[in-house]
This record gives sequence, C-alpha cells and structure tokens, in this order.
Amino acid sequence: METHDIKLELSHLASNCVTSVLSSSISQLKVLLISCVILRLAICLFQYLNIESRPFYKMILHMLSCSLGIFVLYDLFEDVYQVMGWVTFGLVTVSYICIWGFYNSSYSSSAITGFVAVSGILFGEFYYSNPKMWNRIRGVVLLMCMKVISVAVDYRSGKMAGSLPSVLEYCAYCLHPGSVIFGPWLSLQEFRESILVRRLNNVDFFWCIIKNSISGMICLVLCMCVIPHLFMDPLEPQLPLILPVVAGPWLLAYKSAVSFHFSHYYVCYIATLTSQLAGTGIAKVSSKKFKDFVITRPLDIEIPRSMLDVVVAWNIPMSKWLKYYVFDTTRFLGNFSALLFSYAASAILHGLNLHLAAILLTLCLYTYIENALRLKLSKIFNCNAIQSRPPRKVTSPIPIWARLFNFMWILINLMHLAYLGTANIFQDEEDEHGIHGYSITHTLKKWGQLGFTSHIFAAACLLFNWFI
Amino acid sequence: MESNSRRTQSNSSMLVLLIAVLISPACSIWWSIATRPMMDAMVLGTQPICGQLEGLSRNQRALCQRYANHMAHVSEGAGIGINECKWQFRGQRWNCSTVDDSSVFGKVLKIGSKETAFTYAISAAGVVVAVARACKNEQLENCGCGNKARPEGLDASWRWGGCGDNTEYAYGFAREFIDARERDNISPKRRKDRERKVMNMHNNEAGRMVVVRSARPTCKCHGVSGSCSLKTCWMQVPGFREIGDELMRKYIGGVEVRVTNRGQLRPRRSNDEVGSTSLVYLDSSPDYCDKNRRTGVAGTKGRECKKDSSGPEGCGLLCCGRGFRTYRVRVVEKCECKFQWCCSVKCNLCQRTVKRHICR
Repeated sequence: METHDIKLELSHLASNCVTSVLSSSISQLKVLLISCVILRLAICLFQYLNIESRPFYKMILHMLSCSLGIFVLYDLFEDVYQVMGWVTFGLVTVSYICIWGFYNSSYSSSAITGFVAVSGILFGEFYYSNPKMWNRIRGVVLLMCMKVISVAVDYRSGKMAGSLPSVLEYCAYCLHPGSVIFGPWLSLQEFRESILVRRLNNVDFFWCIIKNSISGMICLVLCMCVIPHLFMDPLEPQLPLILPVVAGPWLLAYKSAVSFHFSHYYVCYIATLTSQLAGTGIAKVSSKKFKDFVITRPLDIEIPRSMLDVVVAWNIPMSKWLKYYVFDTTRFLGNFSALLFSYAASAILHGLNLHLAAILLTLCLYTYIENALRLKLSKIFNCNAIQSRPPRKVTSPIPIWARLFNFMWILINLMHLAYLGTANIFQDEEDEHGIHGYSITHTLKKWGQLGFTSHIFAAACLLFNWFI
Repeated sequence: MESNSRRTQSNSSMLVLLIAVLISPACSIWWSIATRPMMDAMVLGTQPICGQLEGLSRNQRALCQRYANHMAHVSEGAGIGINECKWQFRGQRWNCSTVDDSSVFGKVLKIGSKETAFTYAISAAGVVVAVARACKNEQLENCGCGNKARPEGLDASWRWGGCGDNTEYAYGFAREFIDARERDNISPKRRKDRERKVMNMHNNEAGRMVVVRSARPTCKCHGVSGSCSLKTCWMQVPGFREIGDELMRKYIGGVEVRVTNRGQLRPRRSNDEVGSTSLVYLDSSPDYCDKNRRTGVAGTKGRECKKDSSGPEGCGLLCCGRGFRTYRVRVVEKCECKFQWCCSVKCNLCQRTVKRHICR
C-alpha cells in the first residue's frame, strides 16, 4: 500500500491548477471590470460638473453606458457575437415598442411584454437549433428579460416615479455594463439613482471591492481545483486526489452539488464587483456609511436552516424580483398558486430547460411542504423557533429540543441539496450534457441511482402533514 | 503440395532470420545512456562527454554536443520508460528484462515483434515527458519563449522559438534526437533493415504522440443559472503510469504490417488500420518460455508466479506448464497505516511469512 502524500498532491494542484485558473479568469474579466470603472469615473466626473441641470450630460452618460455594454458583450461573447447582437437588439426594441405603444391603451403592456419575453426564451430553447449557443447566451437573455418585465409592470401599475424612459435611457439601462452579463437585476429607479446620486468613494468602498474580489477568487479556486479532487471518484481513479477517501454515491452527489454552488458564488461575487464598480451596487440609497451589497449568502446555503432560506439566499435580487413582480401580482389566486407561479416564472426565465425546471419544481414543493409542516408543528408545540422563517423577536428562550429539531432539518436539507445537485450537468463541458444543458433522462438516471430518496422523503412529509 | 512448398518457404525464411540474429551482435541503442553513471557530470555542465556515450549514432552524437544540457533529461526519460516497461510487463512471459549491454533489452530487439515496438514507443514517451518536465521547471533555457537565433544545421521542419507549450518543445526535440539514429542510415541495403527503420520511426512517433495527446484540459462553465458565459480550463498532465497504460492498450491492439517498396506501412489484415498512435510490428513474437541464446530470450525459469490467477501471471501460463516450486519467505511489510495531521499517512513495519511460487 502506498502512502498518500497530501502535501505533495496539494502542491501539484497549486502549481498546475490554481495559477492557470486564476490567470485565465483575470484575463477574461479584465475588460468587464475596466469598463465598469470607466463608467463610474464618467459618472463621478459629470456629477462634479453638476449633472442635474444639464440633460445633455445625462445623454452622454447613457450613450457611454450603451456602448460600454455592447463592448463588454462583444469581448466575452466574441464567438457568438452575431446571435447575441440580434437577440439583444430584438428584445430591447420589441419590448420598448410594447411598453411605449400600449402605455395608455387598455391592453396590459406588462402582460404583452411578458409574453414577448417568454416567447423569445421559448424560441431560443426549443426552436433554435444550436443548444450549445443558446446555453451560452441564456444568462444574458435572462437578465434582460427580468429588466424588461420590471419596467413594463412598474409602468402599468404606476409605481414608476418619473416619466417613461427615452429610447437611449432604456438601452442604457438594459445594456448597463455593471449588470448585463452576470449582474444583479436592478430596477430602473436604481439605475437612475446611480447616475444622479453621489456615491461615496471612501475606504469602506475599496475595502468592499477587495473583499469581494478575494471571495470570488477563493470560490473559483475551490470550485475548480479543490472540490472536484477532494474524494476519490471510483469511476475515475487517475484524477488528483486530496483526501485518500473513496466516495460513495451520496458523498459524490454532495461533492457535485457543492462544486456547482461554488461556481454560482463565484459568479455572484463577480456580479457584486461589477455592480459596485459601476456605481449601482449599494445597500441603502442615502447612507453615510457604505454598506456592502450582497447578492448571495453562501453560509445560508451551505448550512441550510430551511429550504426557503436557501432559495432566497441563492440570488437575493432575483428573489426580490420574483416577489415583487410575480408573487405579489398573482397573490389573489391564493398562496400556493402564487408560489407555483413564481417557480414557473423562474423556470421560464432560466430558459425552460427541463433539467432546471424539474429541480425548480422540486424545490417549490420542498419549500411549501417544509414550511407547512414546520408551521403546524410550531403551532402544536407552541414554539415559534422551529418555523422555517421564525419571527424576528423570539422572546422566550429556545428549548433544547427545538434546537435539535432545527439541526435535524439542517441535515435533511443538506440531503435534499446533495440529491438535487447530483445531476450537475452544467459544469462538465465538452460532453453532450454540459454545453447543451438539456438532458432530463440523465437527471432522472442520476436521481434513480440515489433511489429517489429525497422525493420519497418529501412525499412522506406531505402525508404526515395531512394526517396531523 | 502447395502447402508443403509454403511451409518450406516459411521455414527457410525463419532459418535466414535465425542466422542473421545469430551472426550479428546486439545493436547499441541510444537508451543505454539511461544506465550510464556519467550523467551526473553532464548535469554539472562540465565538458560534454558525448563521444564516450555508447549507443549514440553519429547524428545523435552531434546533437548531443549541441544540446549537452538536454542529455541528462534524455537519460532520465529513457530510465522512466524502461522502468514503466518493466512495470507494465511484470506479469507477462517477457517481462522487459534488461541485460547489461548497450542495447539494454538484449538480442530480442532484433526481432521486430510487438514487444520491441513497445520498448521503442515507451522510451520515446519517456524522453518527451522528462524534457517537458525539465522545461516546466526551467532547467532548460532553450524552451518556451526564446529570442535566440535559430542554430545552424537544425532540421527545417523543427519549429524554433515562439511560446510553445512545454510538451511541444519536448516533442520536437525528442523527434529530432531519437529519429536521428534511423536517419543516419539513409537507405539501408538490406530489406530487413529498411523495414525495421520504417517500423521504428512509426513506433517512436506513436510513443511521442501518446504523450502529446495525453495532456488534456479540464474545463468548467460558469454563469448565471448555470449558463456557459465563462469557461475556465486548466491542463491536467497525467502521470507516466497513465501513459504506460495507454501504450499497453496500443500494444494489445498492435497491428502487424508489411512495408511496401516505397517504404509505406500496410497492414497485413485488411480490417486493420494503422493510426498515428498504433504500434506496428513486422514479425510475430518468439517463444518467451524457454531460454534461447540465439533469440536473446531469457525464459521464464525463476520467475515468480501467482498461484490463484488465471491471467498471464498465473503459474499455469507463466511457467509454460513446467510446474513451479513453493518457498516460504519472511517479508517485512507496512501495516497499521494511520492518517497523520498534517498531512501524510504513516505506517508501521510488520513481519509476515508468505508463500512464494517460482517457476521451474
């Protein structure tokens, strides 16, 4: 039996993997980050020159935002640039026509815009014959659809302060470099404020930038170099190995899920970085102290107190969008239906990929079941602390059995997350599933290997809920 | 009648082959520098002693003098190849045994068998790996981004300069150096030598190409909702064991060929295809069972076999039906291995009595 030298393996991975991954990531992202900085500098300059009174300056800034957005898209999507160009142009033009044209008419412009966006996504997913290309541009299309629908709905309901955005402003908003590729969803109001309101450029701001960059790089290195090689996959024994432990199916599922999570955290940290650099990522509008803008909370997802926490903490701006624009508008149909609609909207926006749709539907059911069950149990045992979303102020001390109960739910949710993340088809590339991102049979096969445990458990919880 | 004449024809060709093998001495090949102890002097960068190295052909000696600092790595690479060959064939009748002369593997190389093909391929692969590693560790200043002028007398097909991958440079150097031996003899007079030249060059190339193709990038997609907005890749360089395994697979799927008058390889069986990484051979393998001084076979007497196995290392096949003897031996082994913080595994040494089976 050979001795397994962990230090040697780690040093090999460090020299081989870490350096090349970090350098390639920096070279890919430098154009994006520099564009955001340029935009922010221009904004600062024009604010210094007193922008409120000169609409001409605003127009220049909008043009700058548009052109930087187009430039950034060209840099990152050079190989699919034609498709990307037509898609964005089509989406922006058609949606603006819808919003402007139906503004005063009886037809609901929001519904029509939503329909346009959805049909665009459907077209991309099913009709467009190159799934590899669609998987590349899907993220940008998702963000743009969210922005478009938010403008349409806000106009319809009259929540939009100020007038209808001009064409230039609308394009600048849709193509804003700080949020076009990875960026968080931001409302038109936030975009306008980023141009008009002065932002603080103090030490806190720079410290936040540095913190976010370092977190992003750490997540990237963990995702690429450490987690895939943490345990031995019995099907691929020749890969580098850190811990001499052979992984069973559940450990492999967990590893796959965590790798996907860290890739998502990396993208979210880059998104915070771009939005903060461009001046939009700010927690409170007018505060003296700079508060860090948060898109994702990794701790809430890796130590999942409840599935609801996981779903919200996965992407906070997107959860906000779903809450404001889908959940609240369909609430009149009932809580459960509204929840179902939110998940359907999320699934559609994610590209109507069957694999993702299955996962999202499962997540929807889990959150509902867990929420209902924990609520009922908390009423029976008269203890608020065991709910999915405990109320802010818990006055009475939390009994030990409640803490144990919560801990048990953490483990159950970890099992659910590992199960859902096992068919991690998006990360393995150069093979059929990954780049094409569509294989429901592959997903079902992987779930079958784990015995559909998670689904059965959830069904048991549901039955238990009905019997009480 | 016809079968008789065909048999006598094949018999006479075998006789001619045996005579040729008997008369001519074992050839000296470049990989013998792996076993020469004077490589340390080369590492120190003292006077190049290319003239004293046996096994180098005329062109190889010239290249040795020009690239003296590469020779230590060539020797290391040949050593890696020989060790891997021994490991891969450890359970077979021919176990890549070495003899103490300048051909390393003995007279058995004279026969253009599958095993010979493997030795040529794995030595070439070893050199590519060792030189690439040396380039990566910056022990050779010629590779990577070079601004120096192209030296004279370099083969026109060898790319010079630019920022090539380490493996590319190593491949180019290995091709230049190893094939120089075959190119020394521009058009050999004997048909047998012509055929061996083509076979050797193809197998060398197969070994090198397996290394070049083995470094594969591992990529992952990143993006919103799992889309592929960003792709990050890193090159995973496998260990030499993997390359040895791959060449072993090529050995098992080796193609028997004949050489046309124009010097091209044609497979003997019509279904076979000769790819760039396939191993080709001209003659069928000799009988490795019994010791034969003419063919240079060491035989399987005295080899250790596994009693329970039904594969080639089992006592039935390995001993060729001669039977085996059982000995009891006391061995010292690692036992009670524990994970130590941080970060290695430490083991104790225990004594144990085991049964060993040796072929008669």
